[in-house]
Amino acid sequence: MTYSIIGSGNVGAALARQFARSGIAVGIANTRGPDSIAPLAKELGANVLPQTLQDALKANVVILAVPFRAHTTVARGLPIWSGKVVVDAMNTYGVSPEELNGQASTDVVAAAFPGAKVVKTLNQLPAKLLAQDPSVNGGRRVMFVSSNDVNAEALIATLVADLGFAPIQLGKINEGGMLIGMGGSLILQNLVKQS
Amino acid sequence: MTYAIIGTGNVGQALARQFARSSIAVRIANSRGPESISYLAKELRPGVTATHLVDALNADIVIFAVPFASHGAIARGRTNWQGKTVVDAMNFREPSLAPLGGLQSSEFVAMSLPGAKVVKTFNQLPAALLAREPADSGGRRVMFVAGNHDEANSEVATLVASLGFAPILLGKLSEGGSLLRFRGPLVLQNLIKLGS
Repeated sequence: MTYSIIGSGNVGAALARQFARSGIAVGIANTRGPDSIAPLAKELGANVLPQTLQDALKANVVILAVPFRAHTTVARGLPIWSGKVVVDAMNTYGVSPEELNGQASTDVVAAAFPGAKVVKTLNQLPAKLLAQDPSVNGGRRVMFVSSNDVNAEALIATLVADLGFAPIQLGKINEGGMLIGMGGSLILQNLVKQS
Repeated sequence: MTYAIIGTGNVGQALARQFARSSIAVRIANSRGPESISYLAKELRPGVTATHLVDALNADIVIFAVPFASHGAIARGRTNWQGKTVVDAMNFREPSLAPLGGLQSSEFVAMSLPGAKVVKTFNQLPAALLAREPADSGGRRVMFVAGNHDEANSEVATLVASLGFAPILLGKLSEGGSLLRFRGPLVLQNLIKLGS
């Protein structure tokens, strides 16, 4: 399984840090090119590889950590997304419900990535908390996961667990997934799962 | 605000212990009468009072902590449930959901309690964990709350917080509340909320 992070802002950098900490290789790209990510990659070591956007989109699992409106630009990087898992780690601050046509934001993302299996997760914590060691006080920080595709949801739950979090699968985007949508009750909750 | 726990099994006892710990007065009753609860009330006095079922059902907030199949019999203990808040701390554990006719179990319970505002909570932890001190590992144990009446949800969330838990409101029974169904994703999760 190959992974890439698209976006090198606070969320993208936080995720890169978690991959590095867990010793899982990941590509990272932005629209400005790999040179702009060199300092971060240098700090995080060999597992974090700066790539061109085009190369990063070749990964099996592509994590979107860009500002919400930029997802359409990323989507245009490939003609077809069949067989890929796209992780929506974006939030929709400043995006109106009208702009989303009243849909769940992840459903809007899914429409822009035809063929992809879209999973929502890694979106629900402030970047600073997302970057922290998920092992806390003898437990692991909770990360909720939601998707309309059961297999993709399970696959990403495994990744989330490999990164050290305690995944909790909420099911479909317009059901349990609503709780990690904008204004949802499971957003911005610093929860630690005790075994 | 007056409170009552109906049921003196593991869950009812665990809840009584939390009320006693938090010094919140509560009545407790079962179908066998207050004498059968005297040992517990003695241990947890003065806050926990064993009463007859009919008296307990007069409380402002009535917590159902009986086996699911018994809720109908308890409901018949009052002629009028109008305006009362009922906390459903039960779980529908049958392998087939057919008897619920497509409803969430708390919606099914609500049908026996015409006019009552039913809130689901306290159902989601094993009794031994429910009985434990909710202040744990630098935070507070999470207790999810769901219901179709916002005001009753807030009222019960306040109680949950007063008992020391960190309440998280999930919204309506058929929406976020469905995650609290038996074996649902937010059931049997020992979660500690950090920060405020």
